[in-house]
Amino acid sequence: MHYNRSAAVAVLGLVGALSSFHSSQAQVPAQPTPTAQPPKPLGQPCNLLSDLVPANPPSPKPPTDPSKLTLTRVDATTKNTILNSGLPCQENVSTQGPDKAKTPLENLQRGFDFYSWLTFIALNSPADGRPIDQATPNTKTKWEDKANFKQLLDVMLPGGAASEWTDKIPPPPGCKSQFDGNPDLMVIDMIEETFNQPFKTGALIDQQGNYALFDILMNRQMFDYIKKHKLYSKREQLSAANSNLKIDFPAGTNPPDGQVEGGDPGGIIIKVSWKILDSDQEKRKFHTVDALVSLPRHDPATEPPCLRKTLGLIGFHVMHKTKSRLPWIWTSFEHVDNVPEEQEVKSRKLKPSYSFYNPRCNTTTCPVNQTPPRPWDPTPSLGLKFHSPFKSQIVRTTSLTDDTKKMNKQFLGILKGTVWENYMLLSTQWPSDFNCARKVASDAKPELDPNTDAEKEPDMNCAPAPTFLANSTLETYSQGSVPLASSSCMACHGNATSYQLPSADTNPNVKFFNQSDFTFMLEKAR
Amino acid sequence: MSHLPYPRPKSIAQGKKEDEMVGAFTRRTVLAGAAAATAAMSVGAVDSPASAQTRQDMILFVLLSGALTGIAEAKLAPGFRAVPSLTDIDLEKSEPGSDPVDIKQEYFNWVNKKRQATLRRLLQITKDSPKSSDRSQAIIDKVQATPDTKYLARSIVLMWYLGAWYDPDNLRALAELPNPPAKASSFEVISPKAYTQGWALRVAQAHPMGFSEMQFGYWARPPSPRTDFIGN
Repeated sequence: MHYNRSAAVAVLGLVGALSSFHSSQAQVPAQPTPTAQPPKPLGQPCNLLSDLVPANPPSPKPPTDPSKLTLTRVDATTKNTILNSGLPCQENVSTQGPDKAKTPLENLQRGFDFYSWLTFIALNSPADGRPIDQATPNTKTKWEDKANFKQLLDVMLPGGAASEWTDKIPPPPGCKSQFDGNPDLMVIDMIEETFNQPFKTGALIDQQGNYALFDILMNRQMFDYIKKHKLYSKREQLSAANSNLKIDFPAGTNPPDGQVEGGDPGGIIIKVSWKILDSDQEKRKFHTVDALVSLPRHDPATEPPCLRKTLGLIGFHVMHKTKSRLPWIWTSFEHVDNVPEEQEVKSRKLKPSYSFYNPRCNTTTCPVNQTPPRPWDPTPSLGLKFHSPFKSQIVRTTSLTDDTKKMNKQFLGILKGTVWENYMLLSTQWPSDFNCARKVASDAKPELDPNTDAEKEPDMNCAPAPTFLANSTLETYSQGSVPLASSSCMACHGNATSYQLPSADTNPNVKFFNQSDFTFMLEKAR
Repeated sequence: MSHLPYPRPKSIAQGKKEDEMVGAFTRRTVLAGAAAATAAMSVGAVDSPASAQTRQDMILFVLLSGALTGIAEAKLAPGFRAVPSLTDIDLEKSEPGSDPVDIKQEYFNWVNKKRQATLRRLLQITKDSPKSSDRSQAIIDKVQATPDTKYLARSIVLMWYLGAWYDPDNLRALAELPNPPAKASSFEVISPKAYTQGWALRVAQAHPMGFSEMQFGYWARPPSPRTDFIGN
């Protein structure tokens, strides 16, 4: 990877801001407190910050000598700049770094982790345009704003109905009266995937006996592509019109070199996990949302209960497709109080409490990482309480790397005093085979941009780094390092397909693809 | 049936015993043995190397492995880059490769633990073999000078191709004894990761049982060209 000029523009801007503070180290530099600005579309302009800056600024020429690069500071001197830098449209990473002991892979990983933090901050910044350090626990975030992201079931409508981005989708009938009085409430219409983890690996029950809930959202760029090709409809996916379509969602692109405007974030998908919050004390440590949760429908004739709950964010996945990482970039965050790491359990360096682990319960009484007893479906009469006294006893089996922990400490430092200091990056999974990751079709057509080569084989995932990645709340029961059994974002999503079928007159010598570009969303078309 | 990417080097020894040994190690027998021995075989744990490994050691190990297997170094170790010097390869400036799977490190650790002294001799042979168009052949010729290096080299080839460890002493027994003991055919799968990284099935444009990174539906299409798998 190389240090491109676009990054240099932004970096020099950051460096310029830093330089003005270096003259006085005897006092905390006074920084103008940003006031609320009218919210801009996410990714406009693109955030071009990198984890590396020139060591001796200013320099108009990007340094290629690693010894002339230094790590971007993440502290009080750069806090405002970083917290207001916006959403990256594309990663700005490099194989280089100031530490000669680091391998190219480690340098790239650091760059991707830095990009992930910028993404997390941008998406969780207040929807009203205020900076994130002015947010309260229940401040609506940019991704919760329907102007920026839509929930999956608001796109995959009953009957495969079409919709517009600005349509206000009515809630389930059982929620209507509560919703009419409070139209700002988030609505979660539960299906199996709302409480059962991928591949039906199990429900997750917190220490208060409540179900953890999961939800999926997409941005405008994803929605527009789905709408254009009518992929919200199973019938349309199966139609002849779509039989030759190679699913290829838009890719994020930085602006042209030297320019600030002109980029686009491309396709972004978010998957979140929530915890039911029963106490005010809990609410202080979580980002919260007031929600209506419609329980899964069992009887077509009976409306399921609709429960008003305060939900706390416990897990946050981001999928971001970029022009240089066409197999997407996979980011995962979670709440710091979810679970302990294995090493912490062994050394008994535990917190007083966790959301999904009881430090006072032994392994005989509370076996670790076990699924709950069946049935896993919520019992309507119990609301979102699990039917048995069982509570999930979860441990993270793969520790965060030292580099990631170090970066977390830096970013949590500039988020101190906000609820976001309670969230940490687990890792970023990214396709490390660069030539594979940016490979486009040989007959690239502008109208089919980004022209992802759908035939990348034998490894269509392009060597994911790290090889495995699991969130303790979203891939709870597939943690580990067993190839194709343990959780890897890309190894799993690489098998996602649509309903497309080859048309009857398809040339048998022409390859047919029903790969759905790493997303399982299209399977939810009705 | 695919051919090896490079012209096949002169075979190590074309005696009757070698032919029999080669016949005993067909893909079918190896895979059948793998299936039958699943319950009995030991999946070896890779401990820390017995001696400190340097960056140059890894570069030499990759060069050695490339020469022995016939597979490009950059495929064995993604990111590998040999920087030429005036007369040879500049080991200081060359890049051993940096990839998330890093099977080369696992294999190096394994061999270093099993046969540290002989590995050192193989690395020295590699270092002493000048960069030339037939350097691979020069390395192969030299490793055959002693039984230790000869059979460890074979173990390394099998390790890369099959993800399993065939002890050099066993390979020697199979090659040289008229009635080798049954245990001479035994092997250890080095790790789940090694199982997935075996080159035999990549050369065959296929994948190990239970592990595939190919796109859903690949079985309904002709395989991608061999060059996509092995780079040549």
